[in-house]
Amino acid sequence: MDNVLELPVFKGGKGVVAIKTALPELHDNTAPAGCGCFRVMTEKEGDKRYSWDRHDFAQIQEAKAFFDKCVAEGLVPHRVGVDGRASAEIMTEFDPLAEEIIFVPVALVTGG
Amino acid sequence: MIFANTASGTQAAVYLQAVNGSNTISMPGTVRATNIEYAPSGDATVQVEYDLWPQTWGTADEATGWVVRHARGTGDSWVQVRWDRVTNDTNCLHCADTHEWGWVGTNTTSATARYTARVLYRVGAGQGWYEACPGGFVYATKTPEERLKEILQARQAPAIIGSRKSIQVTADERERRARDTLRRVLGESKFRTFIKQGFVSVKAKSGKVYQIFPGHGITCVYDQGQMVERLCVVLTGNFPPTDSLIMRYILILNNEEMFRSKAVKHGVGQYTNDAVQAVDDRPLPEIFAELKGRGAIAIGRTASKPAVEKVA
Repeated sequence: MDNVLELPVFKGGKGVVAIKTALPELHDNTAPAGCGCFRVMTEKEGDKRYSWDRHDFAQIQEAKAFFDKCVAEGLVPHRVGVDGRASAEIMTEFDPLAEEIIFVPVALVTGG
Repeated sequence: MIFANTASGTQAAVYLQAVNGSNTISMPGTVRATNIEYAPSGDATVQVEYDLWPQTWGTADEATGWVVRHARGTGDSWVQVRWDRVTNDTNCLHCADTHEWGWVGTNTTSATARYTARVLYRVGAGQGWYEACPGGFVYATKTPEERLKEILQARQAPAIIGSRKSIQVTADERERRARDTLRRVLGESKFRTFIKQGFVSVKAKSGKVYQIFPGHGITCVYDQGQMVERLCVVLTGNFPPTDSLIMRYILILNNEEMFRSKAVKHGVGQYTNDAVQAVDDRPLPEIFAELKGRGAIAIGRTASKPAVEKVA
């Protein structure tokens, strides 16, 4: 059964765009051992989390597809260091070995 | 109903049971209500005896104590507060009337600490609180030498910032999830600091330190300890406040220049941090001369001691 992630349409227009994925939604704060984690900032539901198993080729493929869809919708993926390792870098390609990937809606960032 | 209970020892409690509810305020020392007199009108006069850490009140003057009287006119109810060396008070005295009583002041367990306090009372409910001794009364005075010693100690201590806003518990599930993400990114230790202080500090590749606040809080930029800029970057839309913080944290770490390019910059010229307590940086001889000229200094107050009567 697919999970659906709803994102605002960033590039003009109103409403949301839905991204379907077969990746399991993560309800705990940390992914299980051997799994990577996507975190997507959403207005409606807060941070949505999806995990993929780094040893499962099918899940890696699914994660890559999800990654590409999110990027296509204007989210910018950052690989972040966790547990206080202060680092963040933009990912241009999906890396299945990444520990945590946070999608930031950079198009919505503006000066206040 | 009012009753003062000191059965628990030196930690006395004044119990307030007002017409519209109840409250309890604990004060160190011992306290008791005596000399209850009922007026035909239903008002009552109560004398409250209060002893604050008897070992610190050895002089006859202080042992006699103050009388705090509120007199709105002849026949009006009034409050008399006196503290005495009441060390064996284990009674619980009741006074059924329509008064409400309150103590406002510091509450500390230090035997050497001194206090300022106010005694409040009101007759009936909903009439507002009267101050038994307007302006407060002072428990103790400090000598110029003691005050100067305090100033010296304060000058050696770091500035105290007293207005940090800790992060409160939220019922918003979105905000909770955002905080979970932040906890994961920062680690447990830094996250706890964030909860206590209300901001996250992050050092960028340029060496500047960014102080990031949740929500629409302005990001302060420090260079070698000095604030050099204030930047405003927000996430448009109804995102939880901590998501905005995460966004800034990530952008600063990844691409400081891009973060700055999106920011609206505010100067720091007129910005003053009111949270840092002002320090009297005059030369010490000048301060001491002023203290000597003023005589005994009321603790925590610059005004002179209010006029109060003493128990005969």
